[in-house]
Amino acid sequence: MTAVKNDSYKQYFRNNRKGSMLALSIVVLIFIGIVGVFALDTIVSLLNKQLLDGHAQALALQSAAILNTGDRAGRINHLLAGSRDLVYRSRQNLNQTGQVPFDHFRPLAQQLLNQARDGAILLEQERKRLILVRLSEIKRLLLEESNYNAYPDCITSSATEFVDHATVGSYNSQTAEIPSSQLDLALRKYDLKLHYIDEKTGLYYGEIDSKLPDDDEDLSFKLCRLPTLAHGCSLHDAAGYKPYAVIIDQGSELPGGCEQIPSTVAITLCHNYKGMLSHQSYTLSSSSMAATSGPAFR
Amino acid sequence: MFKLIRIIAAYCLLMLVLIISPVTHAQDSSANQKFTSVIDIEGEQIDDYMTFAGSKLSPIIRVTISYWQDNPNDIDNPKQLKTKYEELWYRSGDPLACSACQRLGLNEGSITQINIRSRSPQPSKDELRAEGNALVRVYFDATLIHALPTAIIVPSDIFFEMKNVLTDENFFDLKDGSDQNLDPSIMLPLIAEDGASKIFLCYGNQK
Repeated sequence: MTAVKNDSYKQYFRNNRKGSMLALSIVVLIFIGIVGVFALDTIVSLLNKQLLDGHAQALALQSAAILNTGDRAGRINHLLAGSRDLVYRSRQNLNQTGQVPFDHFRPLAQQLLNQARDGAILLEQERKRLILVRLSEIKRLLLEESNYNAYPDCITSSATEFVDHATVGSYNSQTAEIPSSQLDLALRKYDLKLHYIDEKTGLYYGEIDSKLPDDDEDLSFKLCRLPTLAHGCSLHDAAGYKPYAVIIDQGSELPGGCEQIPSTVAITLCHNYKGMLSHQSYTLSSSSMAATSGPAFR
Repeated sequence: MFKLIRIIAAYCLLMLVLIISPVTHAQDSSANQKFTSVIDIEGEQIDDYMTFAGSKLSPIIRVTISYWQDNPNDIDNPKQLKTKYEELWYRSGDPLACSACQRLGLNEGSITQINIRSRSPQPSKDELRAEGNALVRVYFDATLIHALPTAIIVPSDIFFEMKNVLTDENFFDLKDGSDQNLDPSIMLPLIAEDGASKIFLCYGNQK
């Protein structure tokens, strides 16, 4: 009787052990599966982050290139500095007609000064237009890129990428890269006093409104900062960056512009996706900053 | 009284130019030898300089002004090298900017000839307007340093277009009997390159 009882216990334990092992195996397998899924998601996440960084950098460079496409920013700086010289010289000539023997030239001198002043006003209008055009081109590019999926389907599923935040600005270290006129000593002294020009290099500082003295003080000659001569677009870090305007916030375009032509674009690119197996939602973000190209000539 | 003296002086100047100019343009190859200073005005249209969406800065015209002068005291090297004076930048014919390269280093009292040239064989109206304005500006600059321009040589095929362009700058033909208040002491003596045409344009104040 006892032997029969022992046999049934053995049988019970044997069956029970088999069941426990099966359950344990299932638990372990599930655990490994869960870990595997998260490990895969982590690997995919790292891969995505790398891809996102690369894409953010490419997008920042692409946007920055727009700011000085065709050297327009460099050229408008050049024209503005030249316009300033033309108005100043025309005013000097007019002043010379204040006395004999050139007093009868006064109407002609006034006509030439008026033309120069009209030119300065036109340039200021076109400078403002250039800022709006360039900002609108950058916004369009960044918003178009928001709908672009750069990732192959095998890496992510249901991925969306968008520019969450974008600003334009410039770097404190940049100058206008335009040489000032060294011919008139009085003007040079005035420019040095008001910190319009660098005494050592003779270049105009950037991000200035190099107003003329006295009667032409009402005119604006806003020179923007640019990278050094013939320097291509380049990636930068945030040190020394001065933002002028936010152009995109939370994925939406913001209206408005800025006073100066910017030379740098900073963007934050976000990437939402679902894990391949876990189907869990992830959000990655990457920030990048790039400066436009320098002027093609001085 | 002073005005009368000025008018008499201006007419004397006009007579002087009338005497000098036929000699200078008659012999085309030796025209420069009769002058102590020569200023060249050369225009060039740059269509794609400042184009962008909605831009009003197109076309841009660049006018380069250079000069040289004889130095009779230097027997070995009587002719100086050509010196770039300045570049003027225009939107159509409206002056925008100047890049001054040098001072206008003409000798005081030198007799000056101004040549107008265009890079393109058939310059556009915008280019001519720019060259016309550059001419007025450099004429004024030269006068202020007492280097009186006594002849302005214009290519024959654009001679009358240039005259019209200068009318926009308030310079009128003396012969036309304009009702503008003409000042004969501010005068552009325009001479065609082939010597076939010659006119004297005087500055007229607005009516």
